[in-house]
Amino acid sequence: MKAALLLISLLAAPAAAQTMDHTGHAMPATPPPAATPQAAPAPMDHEGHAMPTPADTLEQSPAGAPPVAEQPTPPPSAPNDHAADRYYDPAAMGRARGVLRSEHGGATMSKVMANLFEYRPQSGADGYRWDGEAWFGGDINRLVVKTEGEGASGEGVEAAELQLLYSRAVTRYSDLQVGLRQDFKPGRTYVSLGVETLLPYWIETQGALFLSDKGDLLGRVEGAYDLRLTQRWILQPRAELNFAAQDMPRTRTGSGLSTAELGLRLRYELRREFGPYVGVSYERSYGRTADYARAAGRGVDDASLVVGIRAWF
Amino acid sequence: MWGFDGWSFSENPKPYAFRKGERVRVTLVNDTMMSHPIHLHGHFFDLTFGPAGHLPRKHTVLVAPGGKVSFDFTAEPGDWAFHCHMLYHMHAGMFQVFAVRPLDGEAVR
Repeated sequence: MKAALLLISLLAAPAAAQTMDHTGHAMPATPPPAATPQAAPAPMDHEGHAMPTPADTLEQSPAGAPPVAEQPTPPPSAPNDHAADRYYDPAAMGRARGVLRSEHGGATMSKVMANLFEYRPQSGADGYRWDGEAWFGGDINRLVVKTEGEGASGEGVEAAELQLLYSRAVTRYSDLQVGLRQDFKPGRTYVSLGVETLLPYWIETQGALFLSDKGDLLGRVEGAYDLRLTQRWILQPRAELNFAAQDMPRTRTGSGLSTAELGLRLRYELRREFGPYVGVSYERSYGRTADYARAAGRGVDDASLVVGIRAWF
Repeated sequence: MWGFDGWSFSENPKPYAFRKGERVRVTLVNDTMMSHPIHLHGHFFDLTFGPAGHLPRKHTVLVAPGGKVSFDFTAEPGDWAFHCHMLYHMHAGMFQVFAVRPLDGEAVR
């Protein structure tokens, strides 16, 4: 979730009105039709004012910044009427304002994104991997579907998971996500509790805990950063760490830090929505997970070239 | 969410109210990680830096992430749109109204 908040503070003051003279406006001498309660001592009728020329400004301006009122004047109370109702049918304007409101913040949105969708040419069977998500909702509440997995050509899918999550924006840059995770190879169901956060300087991070129907507890932390080399060339360092609270022989996962993946991908955004990339990915198993891998006759680390597409709509 | 002072326009916040003809300093504080070009309809305003007489006169000012910008303007009667000029920010809720009263020919309240 992206958040935007802009604060506006209003300081209106009689003394500030004097700055008009300094900035070189030509003031019509006629006072406004009605004096406002806290109006400036030299109230101005802006409608008739002449724009100063640069030369005027130079001649009439004393040096220094314009003065600021010592005591801020509180703003008037907000009016309940609408200026446009004087010129157009109030009912029609009321409908138009309703549309205006709904189109400025009230929309329900969605996004489908393939974050990683890549091919890994390797000695032996080439591999592939995907990591994507889709969401639907508004600013605060969303339904999120995530999927990721990998496989090798000729050997089929080696691991695949699907998460169905309810996501709620709990702080300005963080979404809390709860739901279910289903693994397909091997089949296992987890309850998922996660957080997605945008850290300062646009570092995208997410972390989650997964509790399986067998009582196993897993954890995952991911982070990525888009380094904009140009408007279209983007270098993305990426890291993913997987943890387990216990040994899980069936999935060949050991307790503690089980696997880590570091990636560096360079993409070219043909459009914002479509960016092919090339990169390198390094994966490594640790601790008991590495022991399981060795016992199965697999390596504990693996570096590979990746070619893929990042796309969304 | 996107908005001003914590409000998306869709949440129907009260407009920012001004008195006709008053000279007002408006301070914009950007506490987001994005730049926002803030635009006010119906007016030109003077950014409050530089020597008097050389204040940049604009209708849109870019407020940098973490930045703060002040401008002075003289309020014209009417209802004026005030919004981030990145239109996808605006349509996400970063829109408000400057309501300046009294309107022409209207009595002071």
